[in-house]
Amino acid sequence: MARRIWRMTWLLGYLIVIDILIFGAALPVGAETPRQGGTLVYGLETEPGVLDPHIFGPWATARVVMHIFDALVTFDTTTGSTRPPIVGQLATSWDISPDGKIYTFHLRQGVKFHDGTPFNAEAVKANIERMTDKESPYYFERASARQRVAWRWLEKTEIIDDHTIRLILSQPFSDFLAYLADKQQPSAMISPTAMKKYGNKQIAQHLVGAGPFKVVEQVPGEKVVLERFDGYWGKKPYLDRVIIRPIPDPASRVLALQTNEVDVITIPPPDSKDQLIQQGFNWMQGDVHHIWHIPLNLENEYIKDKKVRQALNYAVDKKGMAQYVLNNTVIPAMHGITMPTAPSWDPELTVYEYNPEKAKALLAEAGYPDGFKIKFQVSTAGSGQLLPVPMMEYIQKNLRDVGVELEIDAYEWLSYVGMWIQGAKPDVAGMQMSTGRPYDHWLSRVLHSKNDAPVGWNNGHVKDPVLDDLMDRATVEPDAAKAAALWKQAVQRTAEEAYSLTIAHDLMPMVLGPNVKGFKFPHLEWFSFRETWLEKK
Amino acid sequence: MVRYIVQRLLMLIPILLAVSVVIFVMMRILPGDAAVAFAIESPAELEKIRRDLGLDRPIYVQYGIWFWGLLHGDLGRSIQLEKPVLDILLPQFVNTLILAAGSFMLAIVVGWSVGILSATKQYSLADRLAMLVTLFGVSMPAFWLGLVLMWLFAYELRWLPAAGMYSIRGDKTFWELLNHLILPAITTAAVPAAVIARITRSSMLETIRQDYIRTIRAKGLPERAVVFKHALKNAMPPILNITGLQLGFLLGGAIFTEVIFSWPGIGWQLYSSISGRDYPMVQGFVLLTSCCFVLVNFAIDILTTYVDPRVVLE
Repeated sequence: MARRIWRMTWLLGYLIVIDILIFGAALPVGAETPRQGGTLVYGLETEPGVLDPHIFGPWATARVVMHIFDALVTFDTTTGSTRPPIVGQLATSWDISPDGKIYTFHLRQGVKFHDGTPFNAEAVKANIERMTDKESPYYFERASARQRVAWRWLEKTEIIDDHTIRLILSQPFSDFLAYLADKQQPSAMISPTAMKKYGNKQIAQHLVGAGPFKVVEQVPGEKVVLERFDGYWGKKPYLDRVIIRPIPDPASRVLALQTNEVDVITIPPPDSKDQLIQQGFNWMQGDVHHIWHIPLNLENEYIKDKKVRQALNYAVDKKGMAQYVLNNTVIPAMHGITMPTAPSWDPELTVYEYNPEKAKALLAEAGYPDGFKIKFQVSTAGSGQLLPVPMMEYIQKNLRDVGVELEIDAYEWLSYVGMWIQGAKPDVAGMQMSTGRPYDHWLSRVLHSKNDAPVGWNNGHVKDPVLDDLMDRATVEPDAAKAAALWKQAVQRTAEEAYSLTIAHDLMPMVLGPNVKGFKFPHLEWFSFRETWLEKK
Repeated sequence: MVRYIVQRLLMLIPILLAVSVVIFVMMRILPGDAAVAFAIESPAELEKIRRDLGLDRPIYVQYGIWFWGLLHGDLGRSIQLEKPVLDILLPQFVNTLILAAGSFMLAIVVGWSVGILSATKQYSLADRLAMLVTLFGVSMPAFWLGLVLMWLFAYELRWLPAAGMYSIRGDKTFWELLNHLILPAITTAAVPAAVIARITRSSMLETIRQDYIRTIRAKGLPERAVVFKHALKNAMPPILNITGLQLGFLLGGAIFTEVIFSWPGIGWQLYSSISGRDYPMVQGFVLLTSCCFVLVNFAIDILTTYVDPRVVLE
């Protein structure tokens, strides 16, 4: 007996030593222990506006909404990966039928909305009906219009049991999950009890989600106060409160950070970078789904010539622009019309390096040895537009060097968007836009002939059957690797044909106070502070 | 007098109606409507969104609906914020009034004192210095002055907060408010104070040179009595007029100040409402500020009759 006890003690001791070795090695020396509590103040670059998850627009608003509403699926921004993976949030898993048309979602159990309403398949159905079903009591026309692209091929929703729901599509859609995770918007879940009680027009004042924070106060122009939801199904946030404070003026935003009035700011002015880093602030930037480009208008008399389009691409010094105009807060767009976070991104494909001599030669070949005069339209400011007018002036100087006179036609943001969605008029050579998504079906929205403006985002009126075919095949391809290969071919085709003058990819700079810990750069334009904690000052 | 006041108040109705029609039409002439902001994700759905927002109806019908609501005390709902306009505007209007009142008092105190001092000490060093400073004051744009003050007092010296109306982490106390009010009030008051100072100086100089002032000086009246009792009273009508007008400019200037200092007033809200083509919000704002503007000028007119008995209200 004594020998058995002795042997057991040895085994136990041995296991303890092994445990210490394994877990001790896994823990970095001096790792910081997250501190519970505290209020984080976030200086947002704009008024967040309406926080209804199914109708809001700007990426900046998504950074507020994501705290309040959980979705079926989401992009996991906490991994630090440049391609955030799609993970289940209110869905624990899902099955996709071999033909890619049926998605069966297994829902998380034991989840409650902020008002205590249980989350189940009925709640999912009610939310989807809000965006898709005219006959439903939950239907909201604006939500339907806003989320049309995500749900366009949804044919039917079937409740299998309390925690399983099946979505049946009319055709396979390889980026369907990515669309559902986009800004965590189409699959964001609102409490059906709240929807019934407040109706579509009042719900924005009574936001009831199943996210880690709940809204305690909304004062337009002043603040949105979020408080930790103790009934949250997942890992509880460290922070007691997150206060979102709109500070639209960039210089004021920086000063508010420097004077400790806010802990985090986004979109600081590029020229504040060196000073803030010197002062000990944590300047973060990285690849995100963003491209600043000028879709070239194929209905313009000069632009319809492929050689002219290629010449314009060679004529612009994108590296110089990134360095001198934007202080390296962007990277030059040298890899075609895609984004660093999309599967079609191919660093091997480098196109149109700055070469004014080649540009001149191409213009001469096209029959314009003395150049010509064209017009680009641009917004004066706007969501994700960086510094549109100085950037366009830089392009103007570059084009003048190869003999092309550029007229810049600048408009206030919403006037510009109104014109942009109508498509470029024949006298306009191109209309600048900055946009992007972390998935590739975005390309089809921008380049497919079916999406020619004003129906879709094909602002430059590209009508290329070869490109359409590649994108159609990629859209329905269920195998992710094969789909990515097809999208890569589409990017290559677009580059060869020079349908767009690609300029820069924003790195979404943001600045954190030295006391803000646990936040990883999201590699998306939207994020939340659910993993963030504050060190004692 | 009572008849005059009633008449002026009644005149307010056509003025406000005209202003509301002009703004209603002007906002809709601007390219890009509120639906565009929602439709950028799915341009094909633009008409659906327009229908949902009621923007597909003829402009006179839209105006009629808005006006009918107004008669019932309802200014409509904000498109961007999905809330009743009054619920947003009223608290913000109070915030703007606090800023405007603080700035106005500052502008009057500084403007009048500097003007009177300069006039009584014409061509002295103090006068020249004051006029130089007011020249700067008139020329300085609010967004520049605001940022400089913020940099100096909030960042370098750390004496005052950089932005907001209250400390976001603290309590809403009166001292907090006062502390936050100083820099925005100075920024907003700079131009009006300088204008008032220059007008006060010239009006006082004109009065001081008149014969009756020379006579009372010759009679040996103390200089203080000459300036404050005899000269100032007669110099007052143009000063009052300009001071009243400055209140209008001050409300306009508050827009910039509110954006720079993130002051949660209607100026900042107007800026974002115009950018987003939030028509009901802009209409509500214009109605409110027009009322203020007209009422203040009205009050100044009445005040003028007390100061200058020659003015008769008809």
